[in-house]
Amino acid sequence: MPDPISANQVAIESGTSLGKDAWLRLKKNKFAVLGLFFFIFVTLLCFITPLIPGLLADPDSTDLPNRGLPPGEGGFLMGSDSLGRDLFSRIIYGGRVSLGVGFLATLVSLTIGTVYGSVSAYVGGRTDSIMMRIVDILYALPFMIIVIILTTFFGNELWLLFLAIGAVEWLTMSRIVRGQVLSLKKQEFVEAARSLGLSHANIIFRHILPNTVGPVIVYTTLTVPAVMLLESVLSFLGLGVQPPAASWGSLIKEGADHMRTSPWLLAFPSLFFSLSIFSLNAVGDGLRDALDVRASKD
Amino acid sequence: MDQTRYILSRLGQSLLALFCIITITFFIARLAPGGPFNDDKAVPAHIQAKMEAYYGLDKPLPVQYIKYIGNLLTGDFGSSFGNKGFTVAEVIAQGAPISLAIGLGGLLFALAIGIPLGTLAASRKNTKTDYFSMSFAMLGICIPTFVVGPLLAIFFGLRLGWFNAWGWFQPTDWILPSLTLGIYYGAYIARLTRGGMLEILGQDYIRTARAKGVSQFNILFGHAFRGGIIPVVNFLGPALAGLISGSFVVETIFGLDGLGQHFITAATNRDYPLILGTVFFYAVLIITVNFLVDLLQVWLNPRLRAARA
Amino acid sequence: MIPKFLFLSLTLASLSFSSCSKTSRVAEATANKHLLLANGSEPKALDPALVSAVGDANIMRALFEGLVANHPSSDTIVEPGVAESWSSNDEFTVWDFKLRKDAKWSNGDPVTAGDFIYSYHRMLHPELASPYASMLWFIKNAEEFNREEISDFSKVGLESSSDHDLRITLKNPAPFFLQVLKHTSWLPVHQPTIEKFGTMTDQFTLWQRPGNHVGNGPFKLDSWKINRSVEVTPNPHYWDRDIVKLKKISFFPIPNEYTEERAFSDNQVHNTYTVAPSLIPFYQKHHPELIKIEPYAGSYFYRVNVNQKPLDDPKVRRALALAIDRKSIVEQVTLGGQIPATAFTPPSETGYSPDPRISHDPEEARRLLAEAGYPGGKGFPEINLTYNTQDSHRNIAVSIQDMWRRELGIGTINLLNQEWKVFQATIIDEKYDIARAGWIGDYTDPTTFLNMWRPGETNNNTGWANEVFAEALESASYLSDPNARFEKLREAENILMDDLPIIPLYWYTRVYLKHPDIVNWDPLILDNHPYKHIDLVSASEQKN
Repeated sequence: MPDPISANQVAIESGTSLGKDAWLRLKKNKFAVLGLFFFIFVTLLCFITPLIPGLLADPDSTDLPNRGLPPGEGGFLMGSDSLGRDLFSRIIYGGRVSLGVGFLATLVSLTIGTVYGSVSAYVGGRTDSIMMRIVDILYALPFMIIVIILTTFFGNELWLLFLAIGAVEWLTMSRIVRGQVLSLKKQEFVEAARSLGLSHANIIFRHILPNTVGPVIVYTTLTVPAVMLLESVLSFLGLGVQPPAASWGSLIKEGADHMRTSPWLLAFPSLFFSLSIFSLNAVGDGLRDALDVRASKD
Repeated sequence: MDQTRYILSRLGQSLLALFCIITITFFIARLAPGGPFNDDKAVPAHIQAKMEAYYGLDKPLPVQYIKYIGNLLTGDFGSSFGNKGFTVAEVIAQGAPISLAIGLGGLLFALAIGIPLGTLAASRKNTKTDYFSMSFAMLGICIPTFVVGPLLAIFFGLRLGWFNAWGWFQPTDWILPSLTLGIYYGAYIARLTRGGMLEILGQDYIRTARAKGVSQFNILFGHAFRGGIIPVVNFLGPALAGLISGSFVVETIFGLDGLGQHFITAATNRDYPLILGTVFFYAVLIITVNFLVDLLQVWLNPRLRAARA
Repeated sequence: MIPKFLFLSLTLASLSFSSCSKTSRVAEATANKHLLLANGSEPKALDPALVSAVGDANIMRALFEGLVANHPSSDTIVEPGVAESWSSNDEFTVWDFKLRKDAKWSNGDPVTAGDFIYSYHRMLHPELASPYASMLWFIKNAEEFNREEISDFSKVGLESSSDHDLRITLKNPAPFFLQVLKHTSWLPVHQPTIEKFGTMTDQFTLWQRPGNHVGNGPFKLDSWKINRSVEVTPNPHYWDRDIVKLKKISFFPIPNEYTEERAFSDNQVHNTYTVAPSLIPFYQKHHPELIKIEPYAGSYFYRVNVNQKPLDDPKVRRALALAIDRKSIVEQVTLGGQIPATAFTPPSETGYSPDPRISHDPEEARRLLAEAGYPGGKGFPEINLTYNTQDSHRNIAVSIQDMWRRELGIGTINLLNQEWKVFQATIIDEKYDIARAGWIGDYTDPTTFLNMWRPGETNNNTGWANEVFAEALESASYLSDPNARFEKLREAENILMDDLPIIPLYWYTRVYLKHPDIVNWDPLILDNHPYKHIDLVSASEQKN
């Protein structure tokens, strides 16, 4: 039984739940469905195939005489890297790292950024000023040194990786959400909800945030690739996945150095990375449309 | 009157934020292992101690801090440890014009790529045009700058010979680095523009305008544009600060002596005064652009204007 | 619509550009005798007392000249510099230098023996805190003065009977002293200039700036822009100015090896500082005339923390060392023609070569490991192999980790990469198990490689303190007969190689790209090319 005075209920004439309604609309978007399937396929590929024994070559086992072989040669599906390791196998194992980090860290930054930005804008006044100046301060602090210090004191811990990535990525998110909420909070439906005496939390989370979903989804899908690449930068500072283990970011970086001599080392990891991000964005766009309450009336 | 008070209070807050940034940076920079004077071949301990004494690093940290703040108030940022014989102000002043040229060029490319693509995609939602322009934009995000840069340098520099692949000698040397930056930021802007425009195009007043028979062009640029680019404007703050303060990757690829190098090398050299100098520069930049963005947002959003008046 | 427009604009653009062909910067520079050098990283200073990096030393050799100078094609021949002649006593402990009368500073002042004494006084002064002051500790009482054990500089073994006579008295016999003198730490500075902008011991003052800078080398400072270039032009007062052929040298700091290769391919610079391993086979195949691979006095090795279990057992260290296939590393990973190390000191034309003490012997390695209590790698504790972040270090470490796993069954070695300064702190604090290291010789004598392993030396950092080794070096330092001395040093090196606080991997080579226009640039083991001999002649003219 939904809340009797929910604005959602006003919006959804059919009476189905918001989620179910959105799913129905998402299913109609072929591009988004395709993206979703591809994304699930890549995720399964990365997480399931390594579990099947004997299917993939050891991603860390070097084979110096067979280094730098182009795709197809010497039994390497996608060629071998400069130390003779199987590139396909490294991409699959690397995908586990990148997809895992990409999602978890994005989730962290999404949660912090949305809550922080919306509270700041909604409350407004002095609180908004203080909260936004804190964001300014965090923006300006030298990220690299902070990462170096954190790794020195706490060692190379996984939670530290998420903390470090989350700590930078939520800032822009919070500013985007704040901007959206600022423009929403003076709108009629918010005034109406307020005059009905709803709690602030209720207003923020049930009435305002659903309306910021468009830009938030878009920025979230942009954050995922940024986070994946940031992961490889952090590994240079000694935080996160350490060699010989790979991630898509580190494979692309290595491939970039070999682009003139062994272009496949750049092409294949980039292909996996790009296609995953493309399909993720298709899903994101579809989701945005599906959740856009007003547009659905067209 | 109200406007002046708002600006003044914002200025006060910003100074306080700046002070916090400097203070935090001062202390955390010292926490990082390794000092400015250990080098490839380690120097004897007594020499190390003398060097630290010469730069006042042997004094208690609070004493150094007070001295630093005192100097800062007189406009003295100290001397760089990494670039011996240059003051921090000189180092930043040498790099700033190049970073500014590359950054503004990058912004130009980013807006020129991002806004038309995003608007086009939004106006033809879920058509081939939409998919094509968004895929094109996504390439800019999926192919990181450390791949785009060398590719552009190799293709336009080495293959076609249109531009220099390296260096800062000719008036055209800003184009490839700016383009590298522009492709990346342009992709963000395209996606955010599309999202923002779609948000606005779904609103009642647009529907009303459409019902009245207003042309698509007028709807897009007359009615929707102002509200539609709000997410872009919010993104622009940090993006602009990032563009102007220079990009380490792009500078390294094209051999430019901008500020981006100093942000990284100051940290890797443990060049404390330069770390503080670059952080100060960046902080002023980010605070200023975020302030401008907030003003711009009020201007773009009539409701906020009404609320503040 | 968009692709069509894009295509059209690209075509238009290509038409408008392709009509004008670009004159290459290098061709123009060669015609103007302007040498464009990629020089690694940005110089820390232009003061010979304060620099330590190899790239900085290159600029120093253009701006200053010491008592003796480098020969353009030989490492052993000593060229006269400010000193036109010299002699030593039979024990090689007292050296007399006769300074030429026409040696001038770039402002026209004469270079005198007093200038050298002033410079060495400054270099050794504890308050200046020169990072390379220890290079001057060869002089009698210099170390004591530098360590503030004596405060009277007149006790240090430097004296001059006239403006043109300098006598240097050494602590111990040093038949190789003239080689040491080629190092940048022995270059003189101009007293009036130093003191115009500060005191003798002020670390960095405005004297290093273009316009203020005064040197006595074949070139003088023209401009210095941070991260862009240092440019030098001929010094009109240089005594040997007629031999100087170049009109200008630009030193560009290009720290990224891929960037400098693109700059070279684009004809923006005459050389590269180094070549990325992945590009070496490419150049060998397509442009063998451009790539140079030359022996270099450097040793790449792993430090082993001998206080850490199980590495405190010499058998474990030897097992690890013998399990490494160095030939594969140099031929398949580093690719630059490096030489698999059989000891620590790289062989050179000085006549010293160490006894080969380590090789690739997996059988013996497994036997030793079993003897140490880890048969087949069983029970081997988890240890870290630490290296500073760089692709080549990573690739070597990954390969060696895999060799240890395959040959010895040790699967418990973790790779750990650290940012450069963090890495240095880790080494100095000896908080590592095994760590990557490299050492470049300062002069052509084995002591530049061996002295650092004495107990308590600043760069030892392994926890290894072997008194027998120290005594062998000590007794070698009193020997003035070169052969007897080398024999004793070899004995010391064998002790080092039997105990293995370090695992040598390979001896360096210098790998770089060089434009054919550069003339008189010949292979040198320390890579110290005297710029006054170098010339630029376009390749087509060279054939005529």
